Amino acid sequence: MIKKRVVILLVFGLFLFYSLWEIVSVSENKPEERYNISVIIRGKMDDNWENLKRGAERAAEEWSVNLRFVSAIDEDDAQEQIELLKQEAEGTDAILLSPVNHELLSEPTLKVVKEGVPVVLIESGITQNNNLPVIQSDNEGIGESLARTVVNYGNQKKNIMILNGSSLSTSIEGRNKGFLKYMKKTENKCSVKKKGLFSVQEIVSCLSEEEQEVVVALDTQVLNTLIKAARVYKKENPDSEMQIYGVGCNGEILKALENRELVSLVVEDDFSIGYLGVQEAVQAIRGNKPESNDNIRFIVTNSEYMYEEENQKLLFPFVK
Amino acid sequence: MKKKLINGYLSWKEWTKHKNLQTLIVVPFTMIGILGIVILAAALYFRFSNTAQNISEQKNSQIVEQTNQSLNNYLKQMMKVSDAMYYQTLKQKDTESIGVAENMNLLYNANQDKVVSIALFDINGKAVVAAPISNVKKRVLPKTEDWYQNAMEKIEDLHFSTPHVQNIFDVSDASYRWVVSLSRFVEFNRNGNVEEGVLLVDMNFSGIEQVLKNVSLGNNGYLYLMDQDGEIIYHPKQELLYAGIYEEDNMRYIHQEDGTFVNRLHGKKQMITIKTVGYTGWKLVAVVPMEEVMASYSNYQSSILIYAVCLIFFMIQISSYVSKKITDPINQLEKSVEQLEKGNWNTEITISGSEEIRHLGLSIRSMVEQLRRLMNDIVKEQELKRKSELEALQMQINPHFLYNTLDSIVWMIENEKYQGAVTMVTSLARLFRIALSKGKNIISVKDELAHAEYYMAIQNIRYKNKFTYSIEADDEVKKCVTVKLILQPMIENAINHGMAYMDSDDEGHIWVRARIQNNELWMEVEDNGCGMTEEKANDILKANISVKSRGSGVGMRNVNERIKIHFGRQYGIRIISEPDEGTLIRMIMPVIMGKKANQKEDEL
Repeated sequence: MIKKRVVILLVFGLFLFYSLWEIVSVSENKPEERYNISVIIRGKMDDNWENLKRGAERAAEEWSVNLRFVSAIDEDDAQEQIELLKQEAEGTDAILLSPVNHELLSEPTLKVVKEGVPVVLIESGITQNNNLPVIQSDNEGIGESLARTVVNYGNQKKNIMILNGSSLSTSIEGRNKGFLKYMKKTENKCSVKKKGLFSVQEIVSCLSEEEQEVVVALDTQVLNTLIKAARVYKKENPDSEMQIYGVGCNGEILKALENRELVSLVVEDDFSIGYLGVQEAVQAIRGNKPESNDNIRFIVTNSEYMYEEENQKLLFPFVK
Repeated sequence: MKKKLINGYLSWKEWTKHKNLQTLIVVPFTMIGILGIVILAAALYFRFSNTAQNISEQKNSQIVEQTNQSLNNYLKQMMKVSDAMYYQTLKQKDTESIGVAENMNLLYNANQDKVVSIALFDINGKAVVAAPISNVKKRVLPKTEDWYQNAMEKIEDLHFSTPHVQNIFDVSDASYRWVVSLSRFVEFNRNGNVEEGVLLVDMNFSGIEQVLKNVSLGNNGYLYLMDQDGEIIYHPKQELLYAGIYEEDNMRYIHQEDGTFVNRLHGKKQMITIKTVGYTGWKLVAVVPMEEVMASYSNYQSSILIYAVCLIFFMIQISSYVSKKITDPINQLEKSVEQLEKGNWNTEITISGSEEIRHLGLSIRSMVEQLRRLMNDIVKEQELKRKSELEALQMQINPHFLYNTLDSIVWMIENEKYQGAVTMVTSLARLFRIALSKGKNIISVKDELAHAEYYMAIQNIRYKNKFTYSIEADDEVKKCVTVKLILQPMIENAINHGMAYMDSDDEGHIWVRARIQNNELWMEVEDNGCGMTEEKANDILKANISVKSRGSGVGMRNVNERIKIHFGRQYGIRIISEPDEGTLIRMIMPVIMGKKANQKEDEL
């Protein structure tokens, strides 16, 4: 009987001690844990990635993340990106990757994940996805929307040249696929030019060789070059009625849109891609299952509607 | 409900029937105690919660009020810029004069950190004058802009827009600026004519941001600004709101009056404080998660919880201890009573516990004592009664024997056999003297043997020497004592059942012996009569004592009982008999010497 009472008192004493200890420990401020996340982008770190970077930085601020942006010197060099991936995997908690080549990057990416470093794919996927989280827009939908816009501008039986940047990016492949799929329903004649990185002169040559009525660029980088090339081309051919359409967004492109050098533009929400990419990477670090999002919003706009309330929120990201 | 209550009461009543006293004390006492503690803890918890909420409400209201003041000051500054431009320049000077542009530039330069641009547009939406000097974009139509239309619609007011990218001016680089436009209807002079137009002051959004961004509402609290239509003007997560990643409950508060209340968003409670910004009709909304409001008091809550658990624990211990103190003496008392029920009258009645229980114990003890006394009295009474009955039976022999003896004496005198008559009378007198023995029940073996001898002498004369007899006893044995008149009934049986049925040729003999064997006094009467079977011999002593018919062994049973009453149950008669061989009646008694006889007689 006495033993029983002693045991009860002992258990109760332990409970009391633990409770008081919990109260004291709760009242102490625990230092915030910071994560290191590397962002490996496709191509160079220029203003084409500005909005994505802003989104990632905003998320980093919210989730206590040290961000490290890494880019290859060569725009389209998959091997260099693989090296970067291996290098970053050694000293980071997670990686955000925009793969330059969906085939070549597949195996190294899965290897890094196997080694315990979570990878979140942004803007573009890989061939053997293996359930890796991907944050991207509906690229086929972007292609289709752009094609619909081209047709809506009265282009029914035109020669259309499609300039593909890094054709081995799933995002550009998807846009290309969606564009061509829609164009099959029309009498337009589409020709596709593929190259990792076009120069202004190369595009001008293409425009001069074949009399193109509609030129479409499916990548920000290519669109940027196309705008410059078109200016050169139009100076040489002032009577040309060539129309330019594209996908992407930066200051130059918006200015060209406002000046009507571009007829119409599809812009995806890069800010959200960056933000959600970091958010899902943090979830993965914390042991939660990161979620894919392949339906990031995009808009189709022109010079007339670009300052509409909803459009300007996406075209001119609000930065404090 | 009533049925449930009744059922509950009945279940409780049923339950109490099967529980011991300790459980009946501990359970309700503990339940009531726990209920009290829980109510107390809950009251304290809610009091702390309310206090926390009230303090937080006051704090939030103060912060929002201060922010409102700062924002008002900022907006008034902007309005002063607009007023200065309108009343001190446009109202007084012709726009075609150099002074207007100069004044506008001066005003712009003086407020460059807060103002992005100042411009005057005529009734057609064409820029009349602007600072800094820049061209209006060719394709832009200011007339279609909200700020222009609002100013023209309500000409007496100043109008603040929601944040937007200012797109009317050509800028050299590709940069863009988020502004809040302050527009008003104006009348200005151009070439001597009074014209109508709109004066626009584009406020740098960062100015508003500066006022609002440093407002501290705890770690997770924040403050945002919305216009009267619910459109967000400033929000710490504005870019996330614009991207559709974050949601705010702003549309719900459009018609909400100023004050503090609790709202629930995505399942989480928030304390909302709303304050309308004077002139503009904008609303400042402070949002503080209730978790954070309560966080500073969570320690108090935990403490309350621990105290409550401690109290409950101690209360259970105390109630257990008290109930044990109450019930233990009762249980002990109950055990004693159980023992009494089993007939164990020597059980000690435990006296302990409270006064009432002690009193109860003493009462039971007293009652048991009384019962014990009463039972002893009854036993004694029964014994006495039995003894009286036995002695009465013993006395019954005498008249019968006396009658027969006197009849024989009369017969002898009539037949002139005087010597025989003398012998008989003498024997009879001596027999009666021993039988009386001054009223004693215990006499010496010597007297008992003498009594037997006189009896046999009388009977021998009566039965005309039909049998012979002998008496064997040591002198030592004769000093012992015995219950008186125990040999006579045995001899009578030997004569009546042993000698009476013998053939006239056979010679009957009765042996009377007294000896000490195995530390016991053995007194035997043996005959060589017809004897009996062993079964019959055993049945004689077992037969019901109340059967008093002649020849049924009643005399023998009386003697047996008398020995047992006087000396104990282990003593008595043993019958050894063989048919046609004879019968030996052995009376076993303790060896008590003559000196102790008187003492023994007194005890009995």
